Amino acid sequence: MIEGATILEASTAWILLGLFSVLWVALGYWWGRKAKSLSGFMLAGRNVGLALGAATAVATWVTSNTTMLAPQFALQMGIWGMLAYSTASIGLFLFAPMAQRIRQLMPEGFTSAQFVRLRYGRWAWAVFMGISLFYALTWMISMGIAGGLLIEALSGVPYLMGTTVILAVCTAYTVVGGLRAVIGTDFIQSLIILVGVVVVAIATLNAVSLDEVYQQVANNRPALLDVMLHVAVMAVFKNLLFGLGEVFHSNVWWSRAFAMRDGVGKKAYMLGGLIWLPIPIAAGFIALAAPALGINVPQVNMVGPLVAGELLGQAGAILVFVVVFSSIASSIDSLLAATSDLITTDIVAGLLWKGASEEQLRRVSVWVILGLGLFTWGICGLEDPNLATILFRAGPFVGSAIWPIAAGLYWKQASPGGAVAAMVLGSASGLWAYYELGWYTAALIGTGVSMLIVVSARILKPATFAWEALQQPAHTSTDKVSSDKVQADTLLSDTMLSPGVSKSADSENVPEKLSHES
Amino acid sequence: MAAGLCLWWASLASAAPRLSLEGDSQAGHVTLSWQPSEGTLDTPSYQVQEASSEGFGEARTVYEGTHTASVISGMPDGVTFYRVRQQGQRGWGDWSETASFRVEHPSAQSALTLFAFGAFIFMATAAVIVVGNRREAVEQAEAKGDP
Repeated sequence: MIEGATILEASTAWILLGLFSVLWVALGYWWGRKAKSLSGFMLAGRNVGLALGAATAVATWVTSNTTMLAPQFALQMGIWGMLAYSTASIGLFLFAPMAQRIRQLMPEGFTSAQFVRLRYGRWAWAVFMGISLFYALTWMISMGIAGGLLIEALSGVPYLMGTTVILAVCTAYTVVGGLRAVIGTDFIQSLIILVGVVVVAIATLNAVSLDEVYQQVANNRPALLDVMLHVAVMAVFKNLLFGLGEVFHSNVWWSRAFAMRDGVGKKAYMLGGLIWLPIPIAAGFIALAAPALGINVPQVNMVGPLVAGELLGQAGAILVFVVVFSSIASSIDSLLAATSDLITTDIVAGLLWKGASEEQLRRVSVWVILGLGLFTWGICGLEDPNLATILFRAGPFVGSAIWPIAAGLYWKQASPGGAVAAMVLGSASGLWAYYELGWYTAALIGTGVSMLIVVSARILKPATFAWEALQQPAHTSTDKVSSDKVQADTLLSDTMLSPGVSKSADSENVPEKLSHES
Repeated sequence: MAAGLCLWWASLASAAPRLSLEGDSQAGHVTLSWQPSEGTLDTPSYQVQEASSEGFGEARTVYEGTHTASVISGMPDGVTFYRVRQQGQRGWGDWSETASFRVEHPSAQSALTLFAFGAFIFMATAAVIVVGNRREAVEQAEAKGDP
């Protein structure tokens, strides 16, 4: 721990951890007590309204990275760095119409992987599951590690204690309340985060004028104001595409699209993006003001908390601590729920236990959440700081999924073979670029190669997909589905095993037949 | 044993902190961190200087205080030199060994090429979604109008 970053007494931190732990678990229990059915537990009864929908999008997207990394981007890359981080909101803006489309195409859908399986077949599903699970687990682990490290840095509470409390609390209320608890707590957490960032930004503006900030930076670090700071220019689209990839593929966002009431998804994601957009800009401004305030930054990701602690004293330190706790909790709970959905519906119900009833799967889901929490805690307990940075290598993987998802939702001609090749070769080339060309090229190259393959496959060997095939009942309700449909479902998946076969009569007819049966 | 004692005595006599740095030479930022000289009992104050020449002809103090690290960003191309000293009961001690950091920003050509490449991919992606939604809206309107 670097001396100079601690802003809060450990005893105060323990009281705050205790209070908010009790609050989140109690609220989770209260909101989730009615979640008896599987879709009630996993998708909040598919009845989430605009306010909760927008709040959960904001809270989930405000991770510890937003409150810690956005100021770091501004401090390291100046104005462009601040704007580059805020481009992550474009992921939410573009996902807004996609959320509406997803809800229309799959009114009974459960997961993003289910879409990929029905749209492209099992090979694409397998690759996509690999990407999704890698991303979700590394995100969750990085949040667990960040939680422990930040709590230790802010207050001196030992790393393992902080990590354990955060993971245990999030796992507890997700287990008792499912997505209802996650979305409900997200609402409160998003309010806390917004208030915290606004209060610190206002306190900063009261302490130092924009002119002073500008003069200080212009005199001492003029490169931070340079619109042609090359590395920052490179980071703009790298960051934007990383953000698009994260939102487009992750079941965290898909599960919310399924959970929102009909007609709500588009508005909720647009509103969520609008509310999220100024947060990294405000956080970045706080970082740029640090030199004008005479604040030394001993640890690059601690600039935000240090400014808050300096300007607002003990109250600011408490505020920052609660904001950090809320931002990490709001991401971990969402990841626990969404990843559990993936494992329960796509792996357990889809592969391992096809005849499981909804009640049985509801119980499986609880055990999966517990297992994920325990697994994450075990990895975080290794105390290897390099683990937290693995997430940054996910850029090529998630970038390679952008085009298969977007084209799969809008182009009938997008083919299974193209999707598989796009994800595999996009990931491989992006990873190669990460190590050979530099970190700022990875997501760009991965997405670019993936795009080229999807477009080429559409031109050279177009498929003809029937959208009705996406309206099949999920694996989760196989107990209610006739054996004919289950067989047809299997047949559909099998026909999609081979790239390009979907132009054949079988693959064209099976979805239509299914839709009539439905 | 004797060699160890000699080293310890030498470091105590010079009373200079140990300076290390870690940064991204392409992005132009560096984190300086330093350890107090051996035998330091209280929390000392430190002074950190940077200069563009090894002789510290036009040195600039970038930090003075009790922290043991400092982040410097927005650095221009070229080599920057750093040194640190600590204040004890007898005033300022010796300067540490000099540490240097070379910054070499990527070329404007590569930055703009990647920017343009990224912009193209983004616009193409957005076009798929926007056009797809517009087409869907038209189809739905036609379906509603069709008895």
